[in-house]
Amino acid sequence: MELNQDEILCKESTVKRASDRFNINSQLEHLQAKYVGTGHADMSRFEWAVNIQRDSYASYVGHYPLLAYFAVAENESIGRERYNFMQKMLLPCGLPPEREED
Amino acid sequence: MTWDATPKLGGLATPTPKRQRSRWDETPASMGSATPLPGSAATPAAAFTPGVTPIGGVDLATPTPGALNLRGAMTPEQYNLMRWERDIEERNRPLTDEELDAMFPQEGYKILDPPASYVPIRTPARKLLATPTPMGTPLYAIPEENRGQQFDVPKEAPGGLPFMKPEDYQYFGALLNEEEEEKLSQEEQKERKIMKLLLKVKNGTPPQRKTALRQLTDKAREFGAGPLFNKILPLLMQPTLEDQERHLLVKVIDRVLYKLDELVRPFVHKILVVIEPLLIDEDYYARVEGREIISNLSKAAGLATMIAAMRPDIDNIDEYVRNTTARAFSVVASALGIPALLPFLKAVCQSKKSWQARHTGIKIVQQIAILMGCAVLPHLKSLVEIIEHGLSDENQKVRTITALSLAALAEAAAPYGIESFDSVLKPLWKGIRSHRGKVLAAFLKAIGFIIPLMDAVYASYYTKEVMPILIREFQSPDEEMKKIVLKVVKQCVSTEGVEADYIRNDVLPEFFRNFWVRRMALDRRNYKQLVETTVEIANKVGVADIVGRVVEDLKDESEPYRRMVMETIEKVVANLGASDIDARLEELLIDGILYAFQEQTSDDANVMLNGFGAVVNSLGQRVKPYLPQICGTIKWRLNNKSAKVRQQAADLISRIAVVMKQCQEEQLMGHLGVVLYEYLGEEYPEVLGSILGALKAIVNVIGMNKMTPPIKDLLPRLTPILKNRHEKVQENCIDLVGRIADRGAEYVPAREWMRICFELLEMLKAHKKGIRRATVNTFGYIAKAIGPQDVLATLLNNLKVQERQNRVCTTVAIAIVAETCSPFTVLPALMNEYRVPELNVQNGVLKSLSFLFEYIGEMGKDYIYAVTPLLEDALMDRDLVHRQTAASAVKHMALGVAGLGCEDALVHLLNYVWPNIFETSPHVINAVMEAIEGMRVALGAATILNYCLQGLFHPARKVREVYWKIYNSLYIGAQDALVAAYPVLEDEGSNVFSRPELLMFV
Repeated sequence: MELNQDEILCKESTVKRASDRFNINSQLEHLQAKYVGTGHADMSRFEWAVNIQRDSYASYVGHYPLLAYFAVAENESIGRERYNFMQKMLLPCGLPPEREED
Repeated sequence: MTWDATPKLGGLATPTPKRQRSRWDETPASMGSATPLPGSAATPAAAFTPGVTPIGGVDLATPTPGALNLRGAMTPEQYNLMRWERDIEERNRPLTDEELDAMFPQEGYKILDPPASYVPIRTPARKLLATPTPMGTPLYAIPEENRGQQFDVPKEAPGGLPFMKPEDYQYFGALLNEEEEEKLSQEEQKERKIMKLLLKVKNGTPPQRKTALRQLTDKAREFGAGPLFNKILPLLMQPTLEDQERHLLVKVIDRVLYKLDELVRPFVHKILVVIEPLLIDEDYYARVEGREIISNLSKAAGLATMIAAMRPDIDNIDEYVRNTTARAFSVVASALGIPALLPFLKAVCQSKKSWQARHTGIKIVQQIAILMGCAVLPHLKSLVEIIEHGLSDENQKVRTITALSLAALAEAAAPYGIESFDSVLKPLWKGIRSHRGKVLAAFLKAIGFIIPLMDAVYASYYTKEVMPILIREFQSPDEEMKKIVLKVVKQCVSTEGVEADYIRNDVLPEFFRNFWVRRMALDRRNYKQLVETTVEIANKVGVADIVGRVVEDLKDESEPYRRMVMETIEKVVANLGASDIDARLEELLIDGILYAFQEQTSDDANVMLNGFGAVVNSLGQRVKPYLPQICGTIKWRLNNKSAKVRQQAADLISRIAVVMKQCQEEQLMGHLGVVLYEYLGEEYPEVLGSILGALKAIVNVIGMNKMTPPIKDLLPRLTPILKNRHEKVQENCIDLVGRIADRGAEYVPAREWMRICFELLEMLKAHKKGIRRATVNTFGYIAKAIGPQDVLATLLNNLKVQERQNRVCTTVAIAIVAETCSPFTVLPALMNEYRVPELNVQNGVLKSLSFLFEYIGEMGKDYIYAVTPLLEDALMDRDLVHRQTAASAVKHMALGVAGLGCEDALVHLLNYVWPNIFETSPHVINAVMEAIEGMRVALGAATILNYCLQGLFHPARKVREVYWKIYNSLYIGAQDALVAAYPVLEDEGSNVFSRPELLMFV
């Protein structure tokens, strides 16, 4: 029975949110949320920084002239440079900090 | 179904108190309301007796199947009509002696005896109708008069309950008893509460309905499934239920089901009995709603319960019950997935117990295919395997339904899934040799749908196999067989592997002999199918063969048949062109269409018109020799007494004008132009519209300077016609005037154009968008012809009008004038108008600017500095709409001048736009966000990012939310460009945020 109560609560909260479903702003936010890399009000500095780093590396890898420039600067082959950048995208800023509330 | 069968109402123990009314009242019309529907189990014959507890309740949930059939024997509309009629009759009834005595003075009047020859009408039919209730018949006595009954004003419902219709009394009558609520038992109180809520949902105002619905939903579990459904289901069975009410009740069930979940299980059968008939309702929405409930019901109750509830109905003796059950099962399959149902279906289809069970099982498969379409594909093989043995079933009905189900499956699966049908090909093709009649028709239908799935080689082989049978069945007198044969021929012929010669030699002679007969044109479905099939055959064998065979029939004496011939020729010629038609056939064809066109009398004239147009257009220059004859006919018919004929003649001119030009018959067209001009006084608007359309077509092809009558004579005749309010006239007239303003404005004096401008303002009110668009464009042409000043003055004045649509159109017109005459001719006056202290005018100016900058695009770079001060002011205005419209103007401006070196002005404007980001009104915030997007394009993402950074980590969530929203749209729009502009973040503990690569330098 308790579980059922929970379910009902759950359903009701979705119903409430559905009330302003046709509001154009929430539509926009919903649309934005589908893309990786977009942010929201509860985003931490770390999460945003990770996105920035990944975007940056993706951009370096995507623009060949930029990649070539970095390769010259670091005295590496272009392929190696591309590989390095892609590896760095995994954990660009190190491990995430401990959440305070946890 | 007789009265005795009504549960609990047997015999004479009717709960209806004798209706105390004079016999005069018992007109036939009163029958309906007292007993809404003979035979419906829901009728305790207590319609007008508030206070009698409705008996419906539990009994209703299990009516005999036959009773369900009667739902809708009288539509709610008819029923309402009868109620009104009855009310009127009541008021108009003859006066009684007492009433007359009371009315007239005692002296001076004498009551005359009826003439000796007078015999009251005592026909048996009348007597029958005069009987008050069927149950009263045996002991009929003339009832006593009761004038106290109220028919027009219903008893006031207590406690703010909504109005109750007389039919509702039997369900909600209890609510009118003003009993002490405390005295009622718990159960009764609950029941009363449910009734109140349902009444509010059914008859209440929208707010009442909303709260009631909400309460019903929230308390569903508290009320319990039993009491709820005992009240709802009888209501749904009410024969006089209107669509809207049914929709609302369905909504209640939907919500309640959702809440009750597994508690609904004991009531599944009762609900199904009520809902299943909806699945075969005539009304599409009733069917959809029925499906929705059953689908939700099966999700709530689960497959096992559903099967248990419907299992007994599968081999019910009544075909009706089996049919609805099959449909209900298909809905269950779509709700819970086909695989869940497969084992059950397999068992049912192989039932040894009765053929009815097998029949229903196979029918379920058919309904699944129809309902789910291509979603059957993943399970196609298993579905076919489940039913395939039915092709050789001992019962003929089972064989038929199996073939039909295969047809439905193939249709749903097309063009895929032929491999799943491998196992049934042989029995099907063997079957068509051994079966006759209905079974054969079903088999042929299945074959027809399977052939298009096959590869060309197989299709051709199987087509050859089936063709002899089809040709044999061409002669079948059975209508259903005819339709199926036509359909299958179409399907076979359209496959690749079938050769033209084969069809030409073996099929065509029989086909035309049997199908191209007058009788086929009379039935709409036959007609359509025959035309479709013939067109498909023509695609294979070519135009000449088909047209050659039917062309003579254009002169047939039956008009529907001629129409069918014409439609076929039209489609064939439009598909394949006329190059195959030789000189002789061409002559016959023109002769035929002229005859058919002239002889048409029916209202559906478009077929002839389209046919004529299609033939003439595809023949092209070859029509030249016939044109004098055609034009002679047109001229003759333009003078006809019948408006329809005149309209058709004018319409025909617009169809063939292009071809006349191709044939260099300009003189003839000029002549027609003069004739049409003379008919501009036409009084029928439909005809006038067509005449204007014809003139337009002629002007379009021969040009302004060669036009006769000359434009300077034509246009003044059109000006008064612009006043005509008929949509067709308006549209054609404005098109013609716009054309002249565009191409031949110089033939007309400026004064005349101004006069037209004033007329045009009225046309901005038109309902049809096409008319408004043509009008707005015409403003542009006129402004170009006579200079913008006068036109602009007219338009700016029009900004003061009240009507929104009119103002919006005016702003568009201003923008178009500005575009055609260069903005500098318009902007000064427009900006000056902004000083008028009136909201509508100022907003109109801003909107014009918005459209203007949208239309002129890059040209905007020369004007941006001129309008910036105005926009500054508007963006700081207190009025929301000012800011909204100005923001959209800024958006268009920014997009237009992107990359043209106007960044200084744009940044300035952005500073005024930016403070509006916290607006909450949807239109305003939308305009603001779009303005910012425009700025992103014009100024670059980096600039906007710098505006954003201040708020991304603001302590107030409301601020952060807005800023992240802007950031996100920026990010989605220009992610890559942001890489260079991200701020330098300082490292934090073990996390490194710096981007050293960007600092590299060679």
